[in-house]
This record gives sequence, structure tokens and C-alpha cells, in this order.
Amino acid sequence: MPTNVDSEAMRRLVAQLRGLKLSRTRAAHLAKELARVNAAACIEGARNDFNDQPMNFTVTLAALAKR
Amino acid sequence: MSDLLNMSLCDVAAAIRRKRVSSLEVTRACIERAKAVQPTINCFIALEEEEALRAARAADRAVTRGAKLGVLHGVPLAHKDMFYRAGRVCSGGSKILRNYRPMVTATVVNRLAAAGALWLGRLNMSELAASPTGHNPFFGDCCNPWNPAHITGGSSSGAAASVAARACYGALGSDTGGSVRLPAAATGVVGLKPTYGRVSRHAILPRAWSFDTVGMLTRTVRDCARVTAVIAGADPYDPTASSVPVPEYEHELGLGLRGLKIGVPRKHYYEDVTSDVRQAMKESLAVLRSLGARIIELDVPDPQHTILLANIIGQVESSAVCANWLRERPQDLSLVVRTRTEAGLSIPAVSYLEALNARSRITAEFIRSVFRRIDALHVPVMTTPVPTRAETMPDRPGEIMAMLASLTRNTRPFNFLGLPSLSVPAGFSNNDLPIAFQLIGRPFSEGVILRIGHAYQGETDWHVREPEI
Repeated sequence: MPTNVDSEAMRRLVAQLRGLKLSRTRAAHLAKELARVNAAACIEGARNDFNDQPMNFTVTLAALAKR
Repeated sequence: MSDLLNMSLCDVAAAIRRKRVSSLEVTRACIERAKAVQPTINCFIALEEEEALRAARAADRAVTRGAKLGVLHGVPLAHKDMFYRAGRVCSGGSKILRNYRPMVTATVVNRLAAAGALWLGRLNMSELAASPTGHNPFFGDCCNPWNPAHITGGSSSGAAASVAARACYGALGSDTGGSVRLPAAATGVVGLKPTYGRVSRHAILPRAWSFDTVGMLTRTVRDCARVTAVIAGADPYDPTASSVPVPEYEHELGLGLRGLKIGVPRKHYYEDVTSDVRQAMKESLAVLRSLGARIIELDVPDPQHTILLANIIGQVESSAVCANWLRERPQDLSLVVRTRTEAGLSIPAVSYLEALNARSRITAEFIRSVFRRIDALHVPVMTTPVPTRAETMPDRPGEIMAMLASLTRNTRPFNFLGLPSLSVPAGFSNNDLPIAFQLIGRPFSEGVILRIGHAYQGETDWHVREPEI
């Protein structure tokens, strides 16, 4: 599993990528949240099939409708 | 208050068609009511009085000359201020867009107009559809008609409040994480979040494209069925709008509940539910059982993991919508919008796509495990009584995310799953604010959940009770 982004790395990331300044408290909070959601995505990534693609969702819904 | 205003949308449409009342009388009554309640509940951003009256006169002339009339002919509706009309201001409840004039008209707006509906005004909403409470620092908070100290729920706050207050007969809202169902529940009106792709989102203000749905808020389920039939269906301007045929929802309402199976989750959706909400849920299930439905307790997948994936998608997409404003005009965004926009900036694109790719599989698994045994799921919309505006006005980013998570815990999973969900009024809590249950169906089974909601309203009177303002 990936290691977490720490709050200083988060501050640098947001500043360098988006030109925004975060407080240390806010950066720490975002780093914690990122770790949480990123872990969830990694779990799903391992379960996904390589043929999956986002645009399939509407087709899936139509296929799952009760005829 | 005029008796006209207590009529349902369908009844007032029939009365106009049969010349028992004119569209002008109805529209005047709505305008007077809107002006009377506005100082207390602040549901309108702009009341378009002169144009509405002009349109009402034209509608009456059409009746007089025997023209072919649409199913909403002459009925005044008002809409959350995020549905575009070419050349007309659409603020999205925000300071940044307060003078924004889009170049196109929303498909749903065109469809309502083609069915004869009138446009009464632009309704208040949470800034950029970003909050489930109804607070708005720029246009003022929209307040709950049952008690102005309490939230309306959001983000379709004005839509719910105006319908509950009898200032219009129905209102379009949008639902990305609960934004139709939460305000509908908090104000005692009906709100439908349709299946993802059932209704075109062309030319509406985006919040998170993968979850955005357009839904209707009305006082009765029949009204909701009628309007949904008008706005649903394929749209060449929205590639996600499905070509699955639109049934005649209103005709299906009378089929009754015999043979239908309604599921109640054993876990997750009832955790931390207060006793008054639990009692209202129990009583609503007893009514549905008495109407012939079978009530089945069942295990459902834990929504917590789904909610995390929904957060990834929602945060990234809403950040993409707002990131430029965050950099260039942060002072013109509220703390809620700034907080939610920041949250998406650092999520890797790969994580975002992994979450999107998982969606089909997780939805298929949910439907196979849950809807194999039942026709609809029944859960509370909110697990606690409607809170006050003061209780839900956090001043720190950490508090904001916790508040969002708490309010939307029973609604957000169904946006991720793309399933249709109907909020139906089901009583009052210990603080005298409305309580509602939510019916969730298979994809494109709006007809089934509307049918259940309609049967319930036939046996109860929660939806005809009116707030004293």
C-alpha cells in the first residue's frame, strides 16, 4: 500500500500545482483525508478489471433496469 | 391565504384546463403568497412578476381559443437558480455568478415550457449547490417554513421552501449528494432524485458531473410523477441522458402495492437514528404493510466504503468546476465552497478514475444482492430531527466536512449507485419539524417508487399539512 502524504508535502503540492497557500492545520487535515480516500481507491483499483472504463456506468444502469 | 394555493399541481392544472379558474388568478395568488412569505423564509432570489403575469394571460387566451394544452398548462412553477435560460441571469446562488448570463437554455426548462408551465422566479439555493444545509452568505439563508430558526436542507433550499410555503406548485432542484431529498424531507414536501441519466442535465450549473441529477419537488407524489414524465428522456445535448423509454408514471400510480416487496436494511442506515425518526419509520412501514406490501428485513452492503469513493469523485469534479475561482476570487467564495474545493485538488487522477471504474461493478453487486429480493428499499432521509441554522453553521473546515458527512450519510450512497430515490413526508419530530422516508429502486424504476409513495399519501395526510408562516 502507498505511504501517506504528510502535511508539508500537501502544502507544497497545492502551492506548486495550484498556486494556493494552505495553513498547516488545513494541510494536515487534507493529508489525512487524502490518505483515507486514496486507500479506498487503491482497494478498488485492485478489484477493477482492466477493461473497465468510466463511460460504462450509464450503460450498466440501463442493463440493470428490470425489464 | 387563497384556497387555490392548497390545491395540488395536478388539480390546479385540471381547474385551469376546465376554465374553473384562470391561470392569471392562480399566478396572482402565488405572487401574493411569495411576497408575503419572502421576508420570513427568503426562498426567492428573484420573483419575475410581470413576465409571469404576461405568460398567465397568454395561457388563458390559449384556453379560451381552444388550443391544444400541455399537461402543465398555465401552472406557475419556480426553479432553483441554476437552470439556464439564454440571455437571462442565473446566479447559482453565488456572488461570482450573480450577473452570469448563459447563452443556452436548459432542456428541462424547454420541456416544462412546452408542457405549458409558467416561470415564476429564480429560487434561493446553497452557493454553487455545495452545501446540504441551505445557508447562503450572499443571498441570505433560506429558512424552514415550519420554523425559520431551522435549516431547509440544501442545496435546493428555495425549491423546497417555496413549495412547502404554497408560493408555487412545484420546483426543479438538483441532487448530487442529497440536494433534492434533504430539503424535501426537512420541509415536508415530496422530492425525487431520478436515476442518473433519466433526466437531461444540459445547460444546468454543474456540481459534480458523475452524480448530478435534476429532480422535482412538489407537494404530492402524483404531481411529481407528472412533472417527471415531462422532463425525462433522451436528449441529444446530453450524452448521459438515457434512451430507456419513459413510462407513463401517472398511469402506474393506481396499481396498488399488493405483491410489492419493500426492504428495510438491518444495519447502517438506521444507526444513530433518534427515537422520533425511528418511530415515524416504523409507522410508515405499518401503513405500507396495511396496503398490501410485504416488508422484508435484509442485509445491505455497508455504505461507508461507497461514501469514500463518492467523496473522491465528488471532490475532484467539484474542484475542477471551482478551482479557478478558488485561486482568483477566494474572497468571493464561502468557507464551505473553499473547503470543499480544496479537498479535491490533491487527489490523484488515477484514484479518481479507479473510483469511477469501480462504480459499475459496485452498483451491479448492490442491485444483485439487494434488489434480488425486493422492489424498493425504505430508509430515513435524515437520521435526526432537522437541526437549526445556528447548529449547522460551522466556522472551521474540519467541522464542515463532519457536518456534510453526517447530513448526507443516507442520501449520498444512492448518488454513487445512480439509483432513483424518492423522499416522502412521514410525520413530525419532537421539535415539530418534518420527517421523511426515502424509497430507493432499481435503475429506471421511478414508476415503482412513485407508486409506493402515492399509495402511502392516499392513507396519510402529512403532505397536506401546511406550515404557519
